Amino acid sequence: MVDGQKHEVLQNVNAVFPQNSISVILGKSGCGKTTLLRILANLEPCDQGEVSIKTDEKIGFVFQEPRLMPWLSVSKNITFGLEKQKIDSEEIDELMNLIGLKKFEKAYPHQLSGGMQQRVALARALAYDPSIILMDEPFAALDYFTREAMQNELIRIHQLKKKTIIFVTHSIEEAIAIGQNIFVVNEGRIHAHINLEHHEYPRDVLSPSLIEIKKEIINKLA
Amino acid sequence: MNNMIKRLIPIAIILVAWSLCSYFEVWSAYILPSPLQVWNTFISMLQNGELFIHIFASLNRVVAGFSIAFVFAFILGIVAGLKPSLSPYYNHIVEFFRNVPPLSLIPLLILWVGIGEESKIIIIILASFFPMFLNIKKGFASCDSKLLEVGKVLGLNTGQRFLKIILPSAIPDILLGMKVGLGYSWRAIIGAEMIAAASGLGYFILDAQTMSRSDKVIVGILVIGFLGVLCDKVFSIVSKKFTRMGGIKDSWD
Repeated sequence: MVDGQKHEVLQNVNAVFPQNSISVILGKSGCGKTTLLRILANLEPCDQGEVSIKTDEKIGFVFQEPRLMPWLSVSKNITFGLEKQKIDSEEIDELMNLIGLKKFEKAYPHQLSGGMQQRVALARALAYDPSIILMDEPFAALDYFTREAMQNELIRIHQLKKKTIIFVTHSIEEAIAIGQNIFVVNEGRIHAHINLEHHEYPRDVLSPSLIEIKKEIINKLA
Repeated sequence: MNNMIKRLIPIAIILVAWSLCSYFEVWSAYILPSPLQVWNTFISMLQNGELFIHIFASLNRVVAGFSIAFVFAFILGIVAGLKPSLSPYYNHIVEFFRNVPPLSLIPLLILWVGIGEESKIIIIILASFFPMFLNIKKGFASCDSKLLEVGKVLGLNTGQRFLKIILPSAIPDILLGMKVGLGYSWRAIIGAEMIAAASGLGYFILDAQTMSRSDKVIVGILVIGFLGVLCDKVFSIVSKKFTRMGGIKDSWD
């Protein structure tokens, strides 16, 4: 509801996100991709239709912004969602090393750069140990190199921990770099499903076959 | 020049001017006693314990009234901050009483509860409740909904979200409200004691005035000022322990 008027954001969306794979929801700004993700995370009500996830699955969510608690140190932010007795300090240490912020565990969010904060947010989602991680353009605000490093990090984490990742982005390059299944969303509908499972990581986004795919996606989005 | 010297310069000038005025008897000693006389009165009042009795009486009332007001302000602040839909019921009443100076209620309070401790404590509660209530309410109401969503996706229930997100994010506002409320309490108690009391710093000043002891009046004013500054300093030190760059150090987990 915006200004008393009802807006239909999504219609007839029908998608199956495969387990243990990186699925990317790709679309232009305002096409409803974030809404779709928020419905999956139960942050937004859905008027019609249903979302079926195995009930025992834990879902993690990484937002567009880091959304760290400004009053907690990095390590406390990472363990934020955990109960005290469930905190495994070795595991947290491992996570700190994974995101490369071991030296900053006692720092506060305002002392970190945007990219570092986003890495902490990712670690927080991982510490929660979900089997599904939903990510809403988590790297959109980062510069090219940090972004690429974070994408590789994500792929590494995925290969290491075998999580189901559903990743929303408006960047075609990003989708092609990390996605095993790409769902192209346009005007509230899924226009295409592109399977890239046979492309091994690390991918060269500039290789001819991937450029072909990029052209195909651009046509679908236009 | 370091800051200590900068701070002392205006005080030294005032003291010198004051000494000169009383030395040349610009005004009679009855109107303006000399600094030395004020100092001697101060020392003798310290020695016979008179001063401590009054300080203790005022401080006692402030602590009692302020604590009660804080409990009310905290509970009602939570309700008001987290349930804005209830505001039509109380908002106009709060606005009304916020604009009524507590001292104007003294005639009624004396009539209802007498001139004992109760009337003074009620005055302090009335004076310090509103700044605390409004700040605490603002603290709870302005919690970032984006942070609350983080709690939601991490599976925290309503109680956990309150303790781990809403409360810590409200702490700076709560402390600010307490600081302002404490200042208001001091002002209100001195006023209340000047109208109806048999002890306390306000009473002491008024009593000295009727006895034409200007030196005691000045001692009373200086003590009130020093106590106020001291309270504020202690409070700043305590709140620094809790806050860190607009947030709170790891003290709420």
